[in-house]
Amino acid sequence: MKLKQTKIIAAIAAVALIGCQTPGSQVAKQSHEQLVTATVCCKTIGEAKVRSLPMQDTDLELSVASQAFNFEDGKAFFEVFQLPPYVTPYSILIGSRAAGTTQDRSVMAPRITLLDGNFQPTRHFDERTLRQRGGVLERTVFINPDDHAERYLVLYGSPIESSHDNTIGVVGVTPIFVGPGMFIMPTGSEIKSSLHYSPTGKYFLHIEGLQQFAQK
Amino acid sequence: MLVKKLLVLFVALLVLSGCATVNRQAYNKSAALQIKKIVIAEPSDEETIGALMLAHPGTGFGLIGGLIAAADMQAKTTRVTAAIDPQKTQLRHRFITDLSLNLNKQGYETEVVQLDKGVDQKNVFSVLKEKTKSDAILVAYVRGSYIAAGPTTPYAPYVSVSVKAEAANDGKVLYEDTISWGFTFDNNSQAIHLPGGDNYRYDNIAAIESSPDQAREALLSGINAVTAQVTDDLKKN
Repeated sequence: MKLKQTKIIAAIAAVALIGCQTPGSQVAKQSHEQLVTATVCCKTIGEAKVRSLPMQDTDLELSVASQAFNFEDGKAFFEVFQLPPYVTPYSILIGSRAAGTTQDRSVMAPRITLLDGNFQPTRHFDERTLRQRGGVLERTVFINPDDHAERYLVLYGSPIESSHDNTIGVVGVTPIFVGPGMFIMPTGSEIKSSLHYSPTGKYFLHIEGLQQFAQK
Repeated sequence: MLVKKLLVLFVALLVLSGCATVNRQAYNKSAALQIKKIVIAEPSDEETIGALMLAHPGTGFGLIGGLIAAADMQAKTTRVTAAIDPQKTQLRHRFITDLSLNLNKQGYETEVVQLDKGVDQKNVFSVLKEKTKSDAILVAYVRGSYIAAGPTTPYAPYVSVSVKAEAANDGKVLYEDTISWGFTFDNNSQAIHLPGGDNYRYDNIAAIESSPDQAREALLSGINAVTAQVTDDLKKN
């Protein structure tokens, strides 16, 4: 009886671990479809809603409810952050987290444009400048004295529909039942994994060099 | 002795999988315009090519099983190292030489300095500050391995390079990261990872031993990829 209970608990745990996550390809496809029909917020980026750059580590999301705009390199959901007036050099780490199942994930590949006080672009970084760290695509933007005129950071997902395949080594555990007992056997396997670029996704910001503003 | 080996392998797996904390500092090229000469340290310690299995069956049987797993991986490391021959492969030397040349092309002056054997990692920067004149000191730790996820999966090549560059005048960290290539861990790795090496897979250690040139070529492909990434990270423009 006790063994049966253990097996049921193990099965429930396995299902819970697998979870109900939507495959990344589905998320990317739906987001692209919704982007096509999304209403553009404004004629110029200067008319868009702006939020202050968060001074603390912050988790955010570009979703189908976010503002949409026709950028020169394509239509995209986006966010505009107002940078603080320049006082000292600082850096902004932007990291986009992959979501979905291990085999089928989606990620928003952020494109970043910096604008001056008149909403004129000063610098632009596309997805080719991103680096992959685990399930995160990231890049660091430095605001140096030469960049003192920059006042806004625009972040939007790459409009490119693409996917990247990879083989991933996965370590798991398999419960093995021997009579009334059970022991855990580590198992290793390789799985094919696809990463799909999506116009939407979760991301985080980490600011360094502006701690004095964060404390105020 | 076996316990020590187990600990060493455990740490190696932790570092390789990127589960260990990776210190990171992106290079702020605009703030580092004064960096003109970089001294690159080349450690002299002997290289080994690791043969690691993430889910070794032995680790499921407590301490004794863990010791058996450690002994098995140690023996396989010895075999792979002998087959690939670090003297021919020279992963660390190739990385440092290629990086030095690439940085020259970027406009940096570079000097490669051979470190004495056994220099403590913590003292490398202070030792080089005394011995050399430069604007920055760069130290890189290069590891090459073959890794299998488990006993039924093939061994795949893996290269990991930890790089740290400090300003010579004030010791400020200018750049620090770990970049890996090849075998891809699940999402937990904290290293910057470059995919590759899919064409090089070996069912077992004997297969690596029977194709040493190809196995060596795989690791060198990884060194090339990581060198290109570090060069890109440190570019002036």
